[in-house]
Order: sequence, then structure tokens, then C-alpha cells
Amino acid sequence: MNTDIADRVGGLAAGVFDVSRDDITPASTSDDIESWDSLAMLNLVVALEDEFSIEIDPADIDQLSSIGDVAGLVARRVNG
Amino acid sequence: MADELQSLREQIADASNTDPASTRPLLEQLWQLRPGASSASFVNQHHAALGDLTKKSITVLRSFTVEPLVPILRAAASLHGLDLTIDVGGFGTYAQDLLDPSSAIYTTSRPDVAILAVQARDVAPDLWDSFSRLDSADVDLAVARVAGEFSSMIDAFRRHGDADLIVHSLEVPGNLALGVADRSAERGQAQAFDELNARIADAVDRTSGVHLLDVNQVISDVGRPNWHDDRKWTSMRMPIRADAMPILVDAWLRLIVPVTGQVSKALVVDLDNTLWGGVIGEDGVEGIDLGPDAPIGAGFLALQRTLLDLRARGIILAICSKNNHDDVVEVLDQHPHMVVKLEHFSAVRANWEPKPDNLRSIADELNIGLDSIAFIDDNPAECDQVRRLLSDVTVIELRSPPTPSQNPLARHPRFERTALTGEDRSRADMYEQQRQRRQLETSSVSLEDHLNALGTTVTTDAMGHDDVPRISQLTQKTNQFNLTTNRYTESQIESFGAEANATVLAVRAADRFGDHGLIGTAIVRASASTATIDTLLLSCRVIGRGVETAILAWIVDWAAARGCTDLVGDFVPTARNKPAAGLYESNGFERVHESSESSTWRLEVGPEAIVVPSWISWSLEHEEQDT
Repeated sequence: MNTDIADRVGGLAAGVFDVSRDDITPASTSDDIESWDSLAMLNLVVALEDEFSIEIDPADIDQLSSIGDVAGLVARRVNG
Repeated sequence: MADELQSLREQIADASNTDPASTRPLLEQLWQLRPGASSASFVNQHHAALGDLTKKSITVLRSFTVEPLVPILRAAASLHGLDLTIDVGGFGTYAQDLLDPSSAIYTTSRPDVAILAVQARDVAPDLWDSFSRLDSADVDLAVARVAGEFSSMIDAFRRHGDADLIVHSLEVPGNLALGVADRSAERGQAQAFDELNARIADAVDRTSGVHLLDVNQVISDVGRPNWHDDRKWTSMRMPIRADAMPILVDAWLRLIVPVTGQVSKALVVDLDNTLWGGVIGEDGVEGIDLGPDAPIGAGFLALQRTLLDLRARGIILAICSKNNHDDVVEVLDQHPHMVVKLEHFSAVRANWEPKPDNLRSIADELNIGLDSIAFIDDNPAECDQVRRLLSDVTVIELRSPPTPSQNPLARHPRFERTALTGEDRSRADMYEQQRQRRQLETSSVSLEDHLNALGTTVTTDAMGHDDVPRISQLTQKTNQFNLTTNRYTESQIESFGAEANATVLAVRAADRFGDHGLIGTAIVRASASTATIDTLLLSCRVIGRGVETAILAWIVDWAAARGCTDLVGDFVPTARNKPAAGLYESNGFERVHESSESSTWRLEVGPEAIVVPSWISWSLEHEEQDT
């Protein structure tokens, strides 16, 4: 279940940051991806809220530095 | 739904590798099922599979964070045939962006359409947050101040550029300061915002090429609790909830699509399970579902009413159905709840031929291109066949029965028009008159007899202010009898009309069967001794009877009055404008230049330089109108 979430998060991140799917791994951070700035992060958050039908608190976003962190947050929201 | 979504995504991934032609309908289905940021990412990734799209550019000028809306707009637009380049103006610099003539939108980026998206809470904070602390005079001042700001921005936009502008109206607050007493208060908060919005609407209405987006209608569509994102507003000044974004994008598209000319002129409808439930060949007139008493029948009733609404906007209706013609005539006439009638359709193909062939035949009969036709059918195989064979036709697949409150036609962007001209409203009647003219043609002895019997009168005059939308529309839509195919916005037409040494013609024609309305235009400029024809075009409805000669005669007279000795014009050949190729030559012009792209023609200006055929009644009117 969580690998499915991680996969979907990775796919959306690739689309939002406009990079190839292979460039996104759980370890990827904004240092690795040039187009990952705060606005791009906002776009990703909106896409994740839409994809998983969840709400993400902006306060939580500040704690996230890697795609793995993002997938973890999504999993926690999805699983309640 | 999650399974269906997953399955669609897999199909799309497969199709884009194996069968790109089937990618588009799958993406449309995905969007219909789940429009939004996540599907947008998917659609944008498969952009290349959507084929030839028309490129247009948009700039969003804003008082809040709009970036998450950009990929959603891009995806939704691509499914309607538009490849949009979307820029975003500086955060909160919308006023400077509009007022400064050297700003990017007028100089470097020059978008086709600009969107002014400002929030009530940003532009009228006193009216929004502090209303209960204002007295009546303060409220009046605030309303006047904000209305004035919008007026200035809209006027500046029109003065500095030629593009179109979409202006967001202001949100009326949900929690009114005075609560339920607001409505009856001497100076209520809702009333103040209504008044402000009315004044903004006035500024929009009096300026050509500017269009209002009703934000309160969008909020009503999503439901107020689903509109505002408190958390993202506070942290990132992004006020719109993810779920509400595709609805706002849809409202943008319903203006962007008609403004960029991506309209459908005709809608061809299937009948069985599209206009009623069931199949007349099997269920008979009595057995089909159509009527107010059951959900399925009521949904089809509503869809039929939508058809008549579209017809009132100037969209031509036609039937393409696999049925016997007589059965179709019978059911349209006999069924007690049938809203549409035979006379509402300008062409009928009820036969057993393949639908693509029928659609081509309808396009010929209506004298429009396939790219101007939309086709609705419930049958996936029929839709697929049309998509594959006629890729220019807009195919609307009815994937589930219509409901009384929703059907895919009611808000389809290709059926939207930003302004309805008199010609639009009476277009269907004009097609009926055209049918009568054709009957006369086949019964006339000779062409000259026929033309004499028609009794065509042509009135040519410098355009008036009210003619601007129709003339702009003609330059955008006319392909066949068009010498140079220059496309002009309303704003450009207005400014040509204001030039000192130029004229924009409004050509009207009528005959024994009825009034054609404004069916042609020309744009001519005089400089020293030469008058130059920039544009000369005629609606296909009046080709072939010499109306164009009357236009040339008027132009020669106009040029002579200005002391010009020469009249010059170009012919720029395109795939469609062969009907206009011989105009200059057959009216005595001499070819003075030729290249692979165009030919230039010259006529010496003098009395009787142009001979107008005797079967046309025409007059020279030279009112100099200040437009």
C-alpha cells in the first residue's frame, strides 16, 4: 500500500517539477532538483491533495525535505 | 472510481505508445471523471499525443498566488484544441502592469488574452474587513475609489494594446457584517459589493474586447465552504481550494475559447440515446424515454432545450442518425414531449450511410469547414470512427445519459460566444431563407434571370460603433471570399475606424427572401495619391452575385473623394480563398507585382472605373462617422 503511495507521489512530483520519472527517488531533495522551489512545492501539495483527497497543513510542509518525507506525510493523512 | 481512474491511466500509458489516435478520447474521459491538478499533470505529460493545437498566449495579472492554476488551465485548454503559453504577472503588481504602457504585456510578451484576477479582500479591504466601522459616506467613497481603479485599468488596457482582457468580478462576502439585517440596511455590505460589481460591469461593457468573469457564479458552483482555502491563504496567499480550481479554470475557458476564435459553428446530433432514451426503430414513437415524469426522459428533455438555447446563440443544428428518414420525421412531429422539431434543423441525414460521409455532406451543404463542426453521439464506435476519419471535427461523446441539471453541451466552451450579434440570433432563420433561395435558383431559366428575380440590394457605409463586434467576427471566421485573410480583434477594428485616413466598411445585403444583415467588410487606407485595400471580404452566403463589385465601386468613389488617383490591393492565396482569386482581374485591375506569397493589383481611380451588375440595387453613402 505504501509503495503504491510512494509511486504515485513520485509520478506527480516528476510531472510538477517537469523532470523524468527516473530523476525522482525517495532521497531526492530540492538540492537535487532545480525547479523545486516554494511555488513548485505549493503546486505539488495541491496536486497531492487532489490525487489523494486529503488536506495538507502548510505547517507540515516546512518539515519536509525529501520526496520520501512527502510520501510519508501523504501516507499518514491517507491512513487517517 | 479509484479503479476506473487507475484503469484509464494504464490505458493512456499503453495507448500513447501503441495507438496515439486513441489517447485523446481517453484523456478527455479522464478529465471528465476527475478534473484537477493531478489529472492535469497526466494530461500535460501526454500533450504531444493531442495532435495539432492552436497556439495562444495568456498572462494572468493577479493580487494573489495563482501558480497552481496554471497547469490545470494548460491541461483543460489542450483538450479543447489550445496550446496555451501561460505567464503570470508580478505578485500584486496588476495595476502597474495594466497602467504602464511600457509593461511587458504591451511590449515583450503581448499575450492574446490577459486575465485580471484580483480579490475583493485585496482591492477593497475596507469594504471586506471593516465594513461595520464605516459610515455611509465612507462606503460611497470606497465604492467610487475601487470602481475608478477598475475603470482606469480597463481604459489603459484598451489604449495600450489590442488583446482581449478577462476581468474577475468581486466576491460578495459570505459573512455579511450586518447579518440578515444587511439587505434592509440603508447602506448594506452586499449592496455595496453589488454596486461595485455593476460599475465594473459597465466599464467592461463599454470597452471592446473586455469580458467579465462572474466569480460569484463560480463560488456558487463549488459551494461557498469549498471555495476558500484558509490555510494556504494564510501561509502562501493562495486562496483557492484544490477542488475548486478546475471549476474556475472552466470559467476561464468559457471565455478564452470563444475569444481566441475556437468556436463550433454547427452541432450535428445523433438521435437514439442522444436526444431521447431508446431506439425509435425498435421502441417506436411511444416507447422512447422523453418526458418530465422520469429521470432519464427528463434529462433528455433538458438536453433538447439546451439545443434550442445553442440555436438562439447562432449555432446551426443538424441531424446525423442511422434511421429511416420517415421515422425521424414522424417522431419529431408526433412525440408529445418532443422539444426540438424538424424546422430547428438546417440539415438532416437520416440514412444508413457511414456517419463520416454524412458529416462531410453536411459540411458541404452548410458551406462550413469540418473544423467548425461539433458532433454528439452516445455510441463509442461511431465517435471513434468520426475521430479517426475526420480529425478536425469536435467529437462530444455522450458517455452517460444527460440529467435534468447537467449535460455536456450546456457549458461547452465551443458553444460560447462573448457577444451575440443580430446575425447570430437570426442565423438559423437565415439558413431557412437560404434554402428558399436555392429552390429559386434551381427553378430559374438562366443565371441572369435568377439574379434579377432575387432582387439583391446592397448598402455600403462606413461602419458604426455597434458594427464592431460583427465586423471583427467576420474577419475571424471568413475564409473563402477573403482577399488577404487578416484576422482582427474588436479593439483593432475600432482603432482602424478611428484612423483619420482610413475607412472600415459595413456592407449589408438583402433580397426578396430576407435580410442577410452585415455580410461583408473592407478596410481601406488613403495616403497621398494611393488608396490601399487592406481587407475585403464577403460572407459565403452572398458569393456569386456581384455584391463584391458594389463594394469596389464604393471604395473607388471614396478614394476619388480623397483625391487618390490609384487604388491598390493585394491578393494573398490560401488553401480556402480560391473564390476571391479573380476579383481584381475581372474588375479591370492590373497586376503590378507577383511573388510566391501574394500578388498586387492596381486600378486607376475614375468615374465608372467599376461596373456594378444591373441586378444589384446599390447606393453610395458617404457619411463620415466618428466611431
